[in-house]
Amino acid sequence: MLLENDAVSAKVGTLAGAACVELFDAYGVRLVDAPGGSWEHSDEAVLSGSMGFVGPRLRGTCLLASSEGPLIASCPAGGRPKDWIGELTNQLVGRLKTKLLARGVEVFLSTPIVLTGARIRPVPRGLLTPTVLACAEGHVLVWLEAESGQDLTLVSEHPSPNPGSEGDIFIF
Amino acid sequence: MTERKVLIVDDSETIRQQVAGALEHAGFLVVEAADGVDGLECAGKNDLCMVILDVNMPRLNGLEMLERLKSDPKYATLPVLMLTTEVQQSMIERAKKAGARGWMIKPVKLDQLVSTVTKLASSH
Repeated sequence: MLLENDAVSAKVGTLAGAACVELFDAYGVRLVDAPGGSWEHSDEAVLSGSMGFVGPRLRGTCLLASSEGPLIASCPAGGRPKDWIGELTNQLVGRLKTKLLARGVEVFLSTPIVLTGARIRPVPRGLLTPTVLACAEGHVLVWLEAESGQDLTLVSEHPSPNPGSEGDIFIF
Repeated sequence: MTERKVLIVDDSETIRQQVAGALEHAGFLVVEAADGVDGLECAGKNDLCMVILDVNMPRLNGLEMLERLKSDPKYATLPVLMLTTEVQQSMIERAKKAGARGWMIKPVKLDQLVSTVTKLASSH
């Protein structure tokens, strides 16, 4: 049985936050912890992507939200923010999956859904709050809630490393 | 000169545009599809030298599209390169078993992608 577990959610949320920083860095945007650490909702448009993951010992949902600035700054030429947020969500959860695999936890991914609006704010179920990051172009939020088996621990990287990392190519 | 046509299947329009731009600059013609269902239909309508295929897509994912494509003998020698964030060994093995020629992990490095496509497409 999988149950809400704040300790596991906090660890997985930390991994997701690290994955988000690495992801935006790969596209030339350096994110840091936002001053104050809270999400300031405003009339500015926010785009968000949500994606689920499920495995035998862990399941959850990850939401990536961003003001337009970081999306425009990270998006390849010709791309549109409302498409790019979906792809970034996909790549974020893909990176999270890689980190979980390195810790012996297997999950499978859904596909992202995207929404946009102004004055949106997260309403967490438990005590955990989303990770809020910032760059010169705006703010980014990563929100993850998870349920896990009671025996699940995420202590250190698994001794068997993953087969590859970003940009790697395998020819068969 | 024979046209070299590549099919890129990815649910992200941004990724499709990015890849298409690089391949067109290298002299390839590019056709696009947003998921595995459209990808199979597009493969049936075009004379392709190569397919680039995302994994996590709606309707029909990339591994399922690959398996359906390769179950048709006329696509037996068509090179397929998977382009995805996934690094799970069981997925890579499944793609290899189904007949994919390569697996590339996003974010895409365009120069590496173009050189790989050029190499694989020339074998078809």
